[in-house]
Amino acid sequence: MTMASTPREPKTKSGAGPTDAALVIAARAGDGWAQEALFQRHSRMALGLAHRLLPGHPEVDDVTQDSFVYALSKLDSLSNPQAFASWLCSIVVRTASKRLRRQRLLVRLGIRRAEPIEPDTVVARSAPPEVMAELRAVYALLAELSVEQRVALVLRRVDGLSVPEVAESMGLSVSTVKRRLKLAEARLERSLGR
Amino acid sequence: MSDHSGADRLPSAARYVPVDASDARLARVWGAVSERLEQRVKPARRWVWVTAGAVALAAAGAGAFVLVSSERGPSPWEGAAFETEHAPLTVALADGSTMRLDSSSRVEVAGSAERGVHLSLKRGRIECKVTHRRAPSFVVTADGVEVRVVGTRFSVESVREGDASRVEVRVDEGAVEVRSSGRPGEVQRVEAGRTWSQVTRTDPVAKAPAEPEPEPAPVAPSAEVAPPSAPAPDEPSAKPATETARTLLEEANEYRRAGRVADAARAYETLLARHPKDGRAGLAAFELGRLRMDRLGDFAGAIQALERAMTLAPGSGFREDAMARLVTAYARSGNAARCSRARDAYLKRYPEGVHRNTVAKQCGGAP
Repeated sequence: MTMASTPREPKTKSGAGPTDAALVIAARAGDGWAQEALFQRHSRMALGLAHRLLPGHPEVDDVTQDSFVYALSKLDSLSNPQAFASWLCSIVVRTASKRLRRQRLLVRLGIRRAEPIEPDTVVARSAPPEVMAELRAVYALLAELSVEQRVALVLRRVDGLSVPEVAESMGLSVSTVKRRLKLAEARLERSLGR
Repeated sequence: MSDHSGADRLPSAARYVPVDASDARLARVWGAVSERLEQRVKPARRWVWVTAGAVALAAAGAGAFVLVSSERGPSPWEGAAFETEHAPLTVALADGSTMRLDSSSRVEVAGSAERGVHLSLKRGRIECKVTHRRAPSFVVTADGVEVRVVGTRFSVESVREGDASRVEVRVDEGAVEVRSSGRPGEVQRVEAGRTWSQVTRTDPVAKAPAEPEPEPAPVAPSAEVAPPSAPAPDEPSAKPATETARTLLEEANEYRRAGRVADAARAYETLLARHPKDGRAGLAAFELGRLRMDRLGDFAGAIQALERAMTLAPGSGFREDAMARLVTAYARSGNAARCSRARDAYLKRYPEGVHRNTVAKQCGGAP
């Protein structure tokens, strides 16, 4: 996670309203409105990320919910309040990974059925042809990958993160992420016929 | 890492994996988040959970628990709360009855004694298998609906859907009696294989208009157990809850979004009068100042509210906005001296603030 130094008077990206840093500080002090403001500001981003990691999964809302509960109750551990958004993203990634591992365990135990991903329902029809082809290939491949490979591939190919950013958000070393991605991307390239 | 914090900043591929992020969906998520956050700050219950075979059961995604009290009393269950996050929970009661709480659910034991058990479902779904009983009662309540058990297996589900809440009762064995707080005199008996449901609007602004029809039940109800055709009105006992600072703030915001400015201002004023020490009071004062200034043209009232906002929440994130607005309000009210002081105070505190250009031009003279 990139931790930029906190500016003296941090501003919002839109140039209006309280900054994330101000909201985090207020929320730490127990201001409920600040917690809600953080949710309002970042919930779409968190929900979108959870959806891209678990497309069509019935627990996307739960992942978003768990991530915010964790983040808002652990604000004291956030060293740079202005970095709330990227910190929340890493929490969403780790929460979604846990859900995926649990889901796979339940499938192996025969308690739950596997829920296949339907790429056609995940990818927007408005996507340019080359983007659509790659996204479909990514989502068609996910079920065959390990959880770490799967999450790394989505963050790299769908969210467009760099390898160090993927590593930071997953809490893994760069070399580990490279290994995970190497296998996943090789399979992806094969499926794309490259 | 990238914070993915807006559609305009999303990488090109991510924007083609759209998600339904409707206000209603996010409101449901926030409702659950805020409730869980509130529960975290409540004092610990006096209960001790003893798990049986927890490792194996956790792997299977289910839990079985025995509840023991750390102190003796006439009603050892009372006050206990059962809450699940990722996995369902099964609880065995002393009389042989069991209840299974789905994941992401919460139920509280509102009463428990020899005379019977009263469970209050706060969120999610509960399934009960109740040992046949004659005298003692077994009652589950959810959002103003009371389900009284005759001796049966049944489930109660409470779902928040935007500004409405839906309670659904499904009976698998035996029968239950259902009472709605909106129709206190009526008792409906729901037999095995049938479902009863009710939708109640909770939106304070849109309470008057016609309500949506209750969702059709999975199992068609018979005529005698048909869901109420009209939503249940709020019961009188729920009135005090509408006066909490949180609900007043939500109500005011709803009025504001609906364009009912005077009603919104009154709600903010009520919050400030009744809950001046609440953490939301500062924000309420700020919003009141904005309304008076932008919508009501009441600059004197805006000044009063904005100054109060800064007093109530001196370290808040909206302080910069409040200070900038105060300059404008003084300027519009013709008080040049106070305007200059407010302007200088802003520029001193926020020399690179987002409003510095606007503020610097106020009060008719260079700072």
